[in-house]
Amino acid sequence: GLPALAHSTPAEAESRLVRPAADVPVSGRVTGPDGAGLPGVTVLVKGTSVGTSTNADGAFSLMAPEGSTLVFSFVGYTTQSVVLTAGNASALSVSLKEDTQKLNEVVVVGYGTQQRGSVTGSVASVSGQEIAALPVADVSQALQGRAAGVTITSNGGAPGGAAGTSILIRGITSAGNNHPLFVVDGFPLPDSGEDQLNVISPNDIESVDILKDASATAIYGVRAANGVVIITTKRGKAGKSTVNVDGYRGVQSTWRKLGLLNAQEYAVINNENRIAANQPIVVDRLRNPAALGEGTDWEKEVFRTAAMQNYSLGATGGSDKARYAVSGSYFKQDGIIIGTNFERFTLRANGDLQVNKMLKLGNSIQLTHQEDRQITSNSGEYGTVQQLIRMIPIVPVYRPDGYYYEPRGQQDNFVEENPLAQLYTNRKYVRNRLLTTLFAELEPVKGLRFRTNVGVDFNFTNNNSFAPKIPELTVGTDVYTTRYSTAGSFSQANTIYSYLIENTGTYDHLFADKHQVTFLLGQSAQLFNSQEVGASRNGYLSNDLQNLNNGPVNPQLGNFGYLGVPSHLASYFARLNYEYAGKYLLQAVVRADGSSAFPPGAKFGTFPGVSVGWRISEENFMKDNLVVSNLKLRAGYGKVGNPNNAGRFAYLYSINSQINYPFGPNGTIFTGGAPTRQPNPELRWETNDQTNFGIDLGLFDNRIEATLDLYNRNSPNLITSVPVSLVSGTYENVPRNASSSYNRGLDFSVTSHNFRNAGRGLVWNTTLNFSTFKTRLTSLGAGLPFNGQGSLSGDIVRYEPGYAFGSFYGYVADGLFQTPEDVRNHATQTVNADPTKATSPGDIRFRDLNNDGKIDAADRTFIGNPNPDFTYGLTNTLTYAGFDLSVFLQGVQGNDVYNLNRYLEEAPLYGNASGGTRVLGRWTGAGTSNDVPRAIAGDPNNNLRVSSYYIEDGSYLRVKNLTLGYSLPSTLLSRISAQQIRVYVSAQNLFTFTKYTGFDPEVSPSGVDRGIYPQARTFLGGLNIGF
Amino acid sequence: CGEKFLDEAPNDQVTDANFYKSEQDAILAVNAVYSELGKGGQYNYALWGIGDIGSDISYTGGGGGGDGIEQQQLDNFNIPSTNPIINRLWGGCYIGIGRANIVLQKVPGIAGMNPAIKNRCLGEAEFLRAKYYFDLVRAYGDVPLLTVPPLTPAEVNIPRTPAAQVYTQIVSDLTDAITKLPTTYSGDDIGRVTKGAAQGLLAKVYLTQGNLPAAAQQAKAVIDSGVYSLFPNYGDIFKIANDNGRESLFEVQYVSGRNEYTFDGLGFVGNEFFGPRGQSIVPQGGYGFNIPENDFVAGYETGDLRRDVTIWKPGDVYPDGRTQPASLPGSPSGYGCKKWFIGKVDTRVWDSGLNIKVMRLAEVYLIYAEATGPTTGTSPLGGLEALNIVRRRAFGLPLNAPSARDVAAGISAQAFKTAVWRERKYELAFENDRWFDMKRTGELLTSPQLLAKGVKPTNVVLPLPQSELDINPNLKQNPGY
Repeated sequence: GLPALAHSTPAEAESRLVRPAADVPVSGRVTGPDGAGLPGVTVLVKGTSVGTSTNADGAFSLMAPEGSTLVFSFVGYTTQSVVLTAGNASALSVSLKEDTQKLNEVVVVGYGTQQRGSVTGSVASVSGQEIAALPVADVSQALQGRAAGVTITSNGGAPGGAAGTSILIRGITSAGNNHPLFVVDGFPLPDSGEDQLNVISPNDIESVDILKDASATAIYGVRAANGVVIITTKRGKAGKSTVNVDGYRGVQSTWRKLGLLNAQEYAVINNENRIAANQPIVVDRLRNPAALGEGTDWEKEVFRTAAMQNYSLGATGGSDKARYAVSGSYFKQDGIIIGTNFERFTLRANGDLQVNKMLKLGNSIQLTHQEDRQITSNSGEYGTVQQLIRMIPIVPVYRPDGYYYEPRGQQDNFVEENPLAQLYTNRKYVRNRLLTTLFAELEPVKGLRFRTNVGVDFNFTNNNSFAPKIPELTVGTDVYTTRYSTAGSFSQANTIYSYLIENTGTYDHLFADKHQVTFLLGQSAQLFNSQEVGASRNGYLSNDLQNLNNGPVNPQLGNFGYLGVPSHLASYFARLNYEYAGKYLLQAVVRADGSSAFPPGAKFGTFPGVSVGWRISEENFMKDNLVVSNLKLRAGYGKVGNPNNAGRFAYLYSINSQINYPFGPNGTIFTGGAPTRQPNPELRWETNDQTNFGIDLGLFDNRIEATLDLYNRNSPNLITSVPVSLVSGTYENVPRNASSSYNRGLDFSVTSHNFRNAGRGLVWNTTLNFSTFKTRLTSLGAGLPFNGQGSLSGDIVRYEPGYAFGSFYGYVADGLFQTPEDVRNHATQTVNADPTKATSPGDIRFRDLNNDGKIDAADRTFIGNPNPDFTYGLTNTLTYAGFDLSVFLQGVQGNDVYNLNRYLEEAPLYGNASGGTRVLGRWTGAGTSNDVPRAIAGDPNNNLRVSSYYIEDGSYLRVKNLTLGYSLPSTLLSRISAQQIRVYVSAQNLFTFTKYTGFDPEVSPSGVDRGIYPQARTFLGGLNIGF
Repeated sequence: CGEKFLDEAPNDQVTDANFYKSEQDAILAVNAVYSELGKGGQYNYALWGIGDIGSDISYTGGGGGGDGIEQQQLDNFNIPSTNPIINRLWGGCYIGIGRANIVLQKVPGIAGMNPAIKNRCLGEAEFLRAKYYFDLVRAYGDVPLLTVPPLTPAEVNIPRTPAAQVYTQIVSDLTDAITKLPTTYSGDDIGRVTKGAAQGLLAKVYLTQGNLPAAAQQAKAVIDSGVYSLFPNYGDIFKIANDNGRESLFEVQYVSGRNEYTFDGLGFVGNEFFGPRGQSIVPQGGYGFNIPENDFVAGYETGDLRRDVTIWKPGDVYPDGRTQPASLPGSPSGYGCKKWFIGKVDTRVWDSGLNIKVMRLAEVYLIYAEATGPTTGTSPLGGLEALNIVRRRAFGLPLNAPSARDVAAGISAQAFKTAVWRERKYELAFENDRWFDMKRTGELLTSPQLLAKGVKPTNVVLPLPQSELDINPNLKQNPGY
């Protein structure tokens, strides 16, 4: 860590004018707030390198001049200074207070730490306590609403956070990968998706520090453009041995049901759409809807109430020579969609060893084992959520012999799969991850430290699935068919690994009592690689022996795999921190990163960052201000990069050898080879430069603490995947540094300590985090506007200068035609001699934006923006007489969601699928509805085209967490020699206020709801015990 | 640790730096040109949508409602520029052309190749490039003509080339391919392009251009080559055992058991898509697409054996003994397309192994007949005799003996032409050709059936894909779309 701030008061400065006195023996004892001795406390004679540390009882002794100042410092406690007098030297009694003020909290800034008061960049911190408060599998989910400027959006409620959680730091920088860099205990993780933080048990986390602006992130250079999330796990503290047992159990369920058509309603609408289109009713039993009754409620069949539980056991402690933190945890979460679950075991051991005065060794090691079963969600059109909306209610769940009923073309005129039939397939993911670092730190002279840090990250994933053979069933003339006509298996093994070695040197020194200098120089080399093999077998004789080996070897079934080519990153970096008299702060950073992914001669890039700060409250004229207790202005600028969207070897014209064609009498498969993507030798990493202005304010003895940051981030050479014309003979998009964008925004957070009584009195804290940003694509360079995420009815997202990333593009829906005159008087939509195939009353009217009398592709425009106007989180915590209550609200405001589920909910209007009860309010004649179109098979007006009709307001306010706890009083605890016993009940996602009509408004940052796995509402009870 | 640490070569990838160096590379590059034939951009999706459903022989079928919306759009001549079928045809052809262009650019320079193999590779690429351009120019009219691989976006984003110029390139490619290709293959090379295939396709190109003497000459060359002969029994053409059989000039090669739920696998989707809907005589139950029009079925002459090979009708007996019902979802008439039916075989979901016939001898006879007119005689072969050989087979009669089913001599040239067109309709039904034929003969805009469905003069070409217009500002849409 960096040294404590040099508080240089006039009185102290005066005392230094006195001639040094002779050394006298000093001894004493340092205690904590509870009166127990505090070991490991650093005792230093101010302005010298003379010092010692306290022993196991908190006692210390040293020689120091009379009249000098002794400084007592210890992590987690407020630093205290005592002037040595003849009277106190022989029995100094010092009591350190636990540090509750943010000013003195330690902030991890990459290759070092700083105290909050010295930070000049923009860094948000979230404590381990806040993270552990939420019953989630993935640490990133627990960050939602906790840090200003960090927009966290879950990609779905799949158990274990397996759907991934998007972390956007200060907006969207590119159309591609926007993931921040994750650094866990000094190890920068390889970029491998949005669900990787679920390997860490939230109970293990000491703190999460989020570097937001470029002057702060520049220390991570080419990987820092999207911000850096630094995760620090718990480490042992000398003398303070604790054993903590935490556990909770709860139940989860959906908080909303869509409401689906019952059998009778389905029949009425299906008949109506066929009659409208002049098509015969082919399923006889639909002719009498009333006789069909309710039918099957697929929402009830697919969703369930599911259990979740978490147990962790941790111990920390040690002496000033050796400290440890060990823990183990078990987490299990069943999904609220049947067939999904997640299980995780973690083990962690962090150690610190003071070998001698100069040498310190330490390590952290984490092992995680995860097993989960997932379903397809939020992708394409065949996820389970989509299947259950689409599924017709006139068929049973099971066939007579107990297998799942599969809809049949003849009897049901419907051939999509029963959503429960996914349960046939036994698909399991097993992940094992080892992340470990080992460091040695040598301090040959006070203030000069050399540190070597080596680490590895092994990430093994196995994906095994077996689809059984389900027999056909014949009952009389009734044949029950099956999609599972042969049993098959699939196995895949994937390894991602990374090695790291880093060497740094740090020198810090206080010159002339006023000039605090810290200089860091370092080198880092990291290797990344991955490999994958897979195999499948088909035609198993039995469903019982599901192992891959038990299937017949079929030379026609491809095994597959690749052995990756390693990619390397070589880096050199330096950082200078300078503080003058605790008032004027300067930080300068530079990092040079070289990456093997880029062409020879263009591998290295240089990334600088500089920031300054002025602690106005340390100036004499502010020192005695009763209102303003802390005031700091900050400004910074930096330039950083993002290589993640550049891929590897994009400068070469690569030959795709996955092209096959059979020849010969036996259909022998021959390989072909051809380029499927045009090369781009000009491709480079993306860069962005960012300017940041910040102000930190503390009022009324820091009873109110606020931080405000304004930033402007320009991204001049973003990589966009530009589609090429198929005329090129290739079909893969070409990545180009074609476009540019900006993000401008404001992060604001304020904490108010409304009541801060000691002991079991009332303590009430309120924290508000608020973020807003505006993102615009400013240029596509030589490229043309291009389309992004699509649906069956066309592309939804379009990238065009002047609009935000991910903006929706389509027709503007303008109510429904009510009368034939309405249709005639409006621009031509679909005309056909056959009136059943033409636009008619009850169809959606689309605006003729170019006034050319016809509705065609030229009438499309930008119809929505998935980026919110602002996001916020509000936490209130109260403790009184052993009770604690925490209410955490979180929300987003002003974002649009493209609700693709409505395509399915309204599908009954146009075809044979079932859907939502929304269609009961359909148009059935002039004036009956201006919102839900008429039923007409085939949708001749193409009401399903991409239009504003499917866009909804995605704003929501959520009572994310409500927790009520009770801690036993210490008088009781001491009798059973426990430090803490707390019981609590908690509800997550208790209420959600939104106008969005889908299962859940939190639908991934794309804002397109493709059948997202809904967030669950969770009720749980838990117990914390500390010894 | 510096530049050397970062010096990583892409040894997991083949790049242009280490490819196109050997005979094996040349063959791989040619194989890649073929692969598009089997995919959605050609015979697995686009061509049956356009060639069959877009014509007067069939309609969409399927589940009704919104099922097969893209086929319905072609069926009803209400085709948006975002229709995926027209997009796939465009892409499939150009991807094939791009790969052929690379072969024709790189293979001549490969040292140490067996000259026969090198010639064959170039001939194959020329044939396939011509075939893809022939589909493009017929479907869309003027299309951008590229004959060398483009290196920059500017070389890709060019305006449309006049159709006549595209035809010139097609004729030139096929003419050269004829000189380079072998007559037959053996073993695992069976299925590659032959000289006869190039001659047959060239005959069809000339016929389309209206160059009748040249068409007749190429067709005659195929007939006289002695390489090909008609199966006596029409139904034998469409059996898996007879893939690449005696009558075939060129087929798309399919195998089963490889891919699930894809139009782009190595098998054909038609067994499943055209199987009677929900009748479970094909692996996934049958989707019932591509339903024969009532008028088309009614047009079969009595005794025409092709009917029961080509279509399902109520009462037809399934392999398991059940029968085709009087009506089916999507097919009120109870008809269905049977030509590509292979039943419940070992497939992975959709993929059947039955090859699709691109060009077969019967069509060559009909091209010859149309190009020659109602001339009589057997040696030299008269147009009338060529037509009648095809007709005799359809009725199960000896091929070379005059019969009661013959079109009689003395027929007017115009009536004869109409008779040949009608014969093509029934002989080649569901072989992906009918829309192109109707366009060529002008029937597309005069057929009462299609007029009733709303066909308009603009429908003689298809719209260019919207996504292509969005990328390339030099492309202009066909009028009316």
